[in-house]
Amino acid sequence: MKTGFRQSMAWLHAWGGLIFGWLLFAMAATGTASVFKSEISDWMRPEVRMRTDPVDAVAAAIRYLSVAAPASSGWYMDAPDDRLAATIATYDVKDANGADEYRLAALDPVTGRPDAIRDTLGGEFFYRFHFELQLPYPWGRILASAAGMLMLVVLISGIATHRRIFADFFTMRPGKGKRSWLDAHNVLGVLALPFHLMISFTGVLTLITLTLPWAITANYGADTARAFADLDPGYYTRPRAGRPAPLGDLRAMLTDARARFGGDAIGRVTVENPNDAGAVLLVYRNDSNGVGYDGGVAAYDAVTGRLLSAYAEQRPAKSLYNLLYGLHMGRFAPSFSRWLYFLCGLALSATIATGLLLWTIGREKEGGLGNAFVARFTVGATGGLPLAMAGFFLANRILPVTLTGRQDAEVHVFFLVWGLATLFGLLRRPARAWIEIVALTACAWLALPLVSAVTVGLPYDIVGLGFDGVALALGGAFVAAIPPMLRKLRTVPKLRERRT
Amino acid sequence: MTPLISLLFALAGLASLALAMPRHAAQAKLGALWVARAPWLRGCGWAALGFSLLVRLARPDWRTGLIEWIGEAGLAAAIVVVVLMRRPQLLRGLPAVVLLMVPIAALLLR
Repeated sequence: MKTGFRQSMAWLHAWGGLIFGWLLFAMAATGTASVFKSEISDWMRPEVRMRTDPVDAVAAAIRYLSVAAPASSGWYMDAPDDRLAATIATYDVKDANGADEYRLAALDPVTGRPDAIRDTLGGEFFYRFHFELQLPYPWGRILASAAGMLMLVVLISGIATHRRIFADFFTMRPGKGKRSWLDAHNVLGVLALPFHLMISFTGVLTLITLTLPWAITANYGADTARAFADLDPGYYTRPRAGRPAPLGDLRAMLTDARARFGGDAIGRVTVENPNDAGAVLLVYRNDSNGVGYDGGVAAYDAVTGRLLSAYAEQRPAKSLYNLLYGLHMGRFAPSFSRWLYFLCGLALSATIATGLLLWTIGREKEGGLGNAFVARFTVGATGGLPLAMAGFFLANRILPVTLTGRQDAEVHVFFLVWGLATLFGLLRRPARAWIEIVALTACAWLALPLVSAVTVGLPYDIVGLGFDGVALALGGAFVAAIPPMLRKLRTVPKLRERRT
Repeated sequence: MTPLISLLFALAGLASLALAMPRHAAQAKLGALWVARAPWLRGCGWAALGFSLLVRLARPDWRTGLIEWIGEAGLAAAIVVVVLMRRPQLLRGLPAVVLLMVPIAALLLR
């Protein structure tokens, strides 16, 4: 260990940042994209253009699911809203071997059918990856939580390390090598520091029942069902009755729920035990109305239409949790704050990336296998991620619409690109590999609007224009990064010659 | 509307605070008269920054306003950083120009 408080904090900041740095960058970048989850989903399903009343859309979806998945244990639907055009349905079906298989499908808001819509996870992929890391439950979530906790440690030790936090508040000295990287790291970290602290803390909090289960164990023992019932009293559940029964007038129930929410939009709608006498319809209020989601939910007997329970959160502790959860999700956000969330997320991603670069820049002269590995691995693991994200979007436009397993194919493209970039970075000299990866990333983002225009036509709505705008801006930023890197590549060998 | 007004005040405030710092005053080639009045600049800077927060808190949707303000202040600071990096001398006029834009914005967007 190092002596002195600031030195130990610097040590903690550097090594703590390194352990999960690559993972945190991926979480931050995909989390940033998730700010526009609904918009990305809309963009990735260009076939859905009609907008309808959410109640009609859900009723249409249920009509389809009654035929497509009558034996399902439950249908989980996200009703369309101002931002999302399609109904997103998740449900289980028996696969060829009789095992349960979960499916996610976007259903047309008018017809309720998925056929005419390309099969894609849409923005849901980035959102899920951001905290499940494509690993089996619960390992992805535990790893993401651990990374989030370390992020908090790294942020706080970073503040302690930063000697001139106010004096250097506005300081950015370009073209000075390591000094400039440090300035960029500091400015990006400090200017959006409240956001960085908030998003890390609330992110860890969203998975708290998984990582700190002991409060529940102490009070409820092994009876976690009762604990979760107390946590979420609006959630009404009952076992299958075992007698088939047709669904009642769901449209009337959905309309009644909307009236109970004071006319606010409906959000998530679930039907548990469909086509059984024990069927339950749960209707949740749309979560975009306030910072703290109030958990407004109404439960109906889906056969008779009788109201079983109605709940809105009033308890202070749970309301506080909902407030912090809502802050992380940013679902409340009107478009201006959504853009601020997006910019702050970009700043966080860039802070982590510059931090990883600083780790390697500071140790270039030391040499050694470990340092060389970090330098090379960082190229593909961080630099390859924006490329993989562009690859995911390109796959959405290029893969044949009728391809079976298309949803998974897009995800495979993402991981294939990321993996290949990482391999490429390990094999090349970092200074060269960086330029090549950044140039390729710039091309991929700049090509996106063009490829999209050729394959599905020009954008004619705000989502299409916004998407193209962001793609061009990101592409432009990557292009702008190339000349300084080329200059550095040319000067480094000269310095070496002079020395010898 | 309110977001724009509070962003402008935050920008004016943060630009003044930057000008009150010797390093950035030198970058912006601030006149000696103003350099001598750094404490005054600093006071005005904090006042404008505080006022931009007040604009947000005085409204019924102050919860969203407070969250947005934190992001806005960061955005305003980032603008100051970019100005200092690219055209430092523009910083001298920034507080005055930005404050002049407030009534114009208020009139245009009313």
